[in-house]
Amino acid sequence: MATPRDQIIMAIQETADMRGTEVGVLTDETVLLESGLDSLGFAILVARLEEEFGYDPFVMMDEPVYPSTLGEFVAIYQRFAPQ
Amino acid sequence: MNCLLDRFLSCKASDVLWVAEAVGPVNITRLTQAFSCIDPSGWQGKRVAIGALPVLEFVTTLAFLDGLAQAIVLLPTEDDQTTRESRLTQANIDIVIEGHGLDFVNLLAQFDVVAANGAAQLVVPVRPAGIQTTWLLPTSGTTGTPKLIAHTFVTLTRSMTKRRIGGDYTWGSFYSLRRFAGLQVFLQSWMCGTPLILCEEGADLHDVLTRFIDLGCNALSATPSMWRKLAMHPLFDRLSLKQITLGGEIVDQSILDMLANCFPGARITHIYASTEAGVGFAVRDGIAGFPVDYLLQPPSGVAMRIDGQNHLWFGTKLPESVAVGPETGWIDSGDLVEMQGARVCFLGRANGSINVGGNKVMPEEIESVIKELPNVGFVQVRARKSAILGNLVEAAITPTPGNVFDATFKKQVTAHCRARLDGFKVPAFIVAADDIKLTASGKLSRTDLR
Repeated sequence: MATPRDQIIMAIQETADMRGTEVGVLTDETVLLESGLDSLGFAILVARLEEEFGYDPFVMMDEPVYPSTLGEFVAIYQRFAPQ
Repeated sequence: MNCLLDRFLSCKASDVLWVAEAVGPVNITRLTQAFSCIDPSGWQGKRVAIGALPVLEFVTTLAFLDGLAQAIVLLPTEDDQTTRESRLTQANIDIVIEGHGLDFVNLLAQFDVVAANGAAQLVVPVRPAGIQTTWLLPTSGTTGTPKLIAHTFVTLTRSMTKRRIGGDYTWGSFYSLRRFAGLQVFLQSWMCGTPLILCEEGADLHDVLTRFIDLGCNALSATPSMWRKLAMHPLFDRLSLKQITLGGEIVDQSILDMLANCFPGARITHIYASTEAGVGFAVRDGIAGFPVDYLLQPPSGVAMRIDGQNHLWFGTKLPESVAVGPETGWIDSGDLVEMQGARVCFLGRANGSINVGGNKVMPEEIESVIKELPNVGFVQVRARKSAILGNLVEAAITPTPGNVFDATFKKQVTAHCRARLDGFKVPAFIVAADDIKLTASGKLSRTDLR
């Protein structure tokens, strides 16, 4: 079964594909805004993931957190995952 | 001519006015016979609201009251109780006609159309001298607070053809006749002496088309959305149309081309009309938008200008409106336009834009690009909330019959949009639309946009 991390990577690839940009190899250290996603792409990614996971951590968080790497981004989704 | 019945002076007793399901063809003789059964004095100078009525009762009532009542309000049937009451108060209404109304349908049924078709003498009903009745028309409400706009028979028919066309054309009523666009169809067929096939509001599309085909309807007026819906119906090809009219929404090139292909030889007219400004004009060259020349040489006397925000303004001659105060001089149509070469093209409603991270996106612009694809039957572009950018663009699409909504289809739409539009306008989401919802005035519903 695909882990949330796999699903996120797949969604990044699909979003980039849709936006007509290329993403390279994605690791935990990859900086999101250098991965081929701009701010619009990032907004689309979050909306897609909300559809897939059923929640949007960026709406749920009290203090805004801005993940810069893929690892931090995945961690945010794991932290806010419904128990 | 000052009121509807004045036209009786210039037509034949056997002219068919309407073809109604309940009673068949209604000609002028039959109508005047029905009128002669009702004492007009009880309606003289009254302020009357017309609620839900069978369509034949509705048109007969209009013909009866115009020139007799002081004011007529056409109540939208979808109004809730509060809106309805506020309209009645606002317009100072004495009487509401609804249900069976004055029961004209029964009266018409009593007079035999065959006898009337013969040598029957036209009996002009005895009525008090005609007055100028005020027609209070609700705006479609697609753009905020619904209002009542004051018209008269004269302002409503100002830009209409008044020459007699007679039986060469048979119009179908497709719009709700109580809305501005439907009223235009009703009045235009009345003015030209052409029969109008009446259909009940909300009737099944299959039944309506079957009736139009059987009764030889060759002239239809509808919104671009309604035309697209029609084009996806299996009976569409069996219509044989000589006159095609579009209005009420932006008319883009793809719909004009589609209709020209389906009905070679038909005259295609697209109409731009503003209920608020009480003006309208027609374009007949088969090209979207209208010629830039119209700004200098206004068609049918309708002066236009474009302001710094690209809003289209009209010079107006409306009588005083109870809802919005005196309106003379210029009125903002609320429509955004753009000069494209020798044409002025419509972009959408000024207050209808989607804000994507500070960029304004007109849904109509994206819809028009997506509709360029031949396998797209219907598309509605709307906002989808985003915590990051405020809104994202979502397109709900129905493919044309025979095409499937799948990943390949979605990719094709995305690729087409990316080639034609700025990145922030490319739909982030493409979803399947199972059902095409149109408003009472035949337009795509945009109430969920904001």
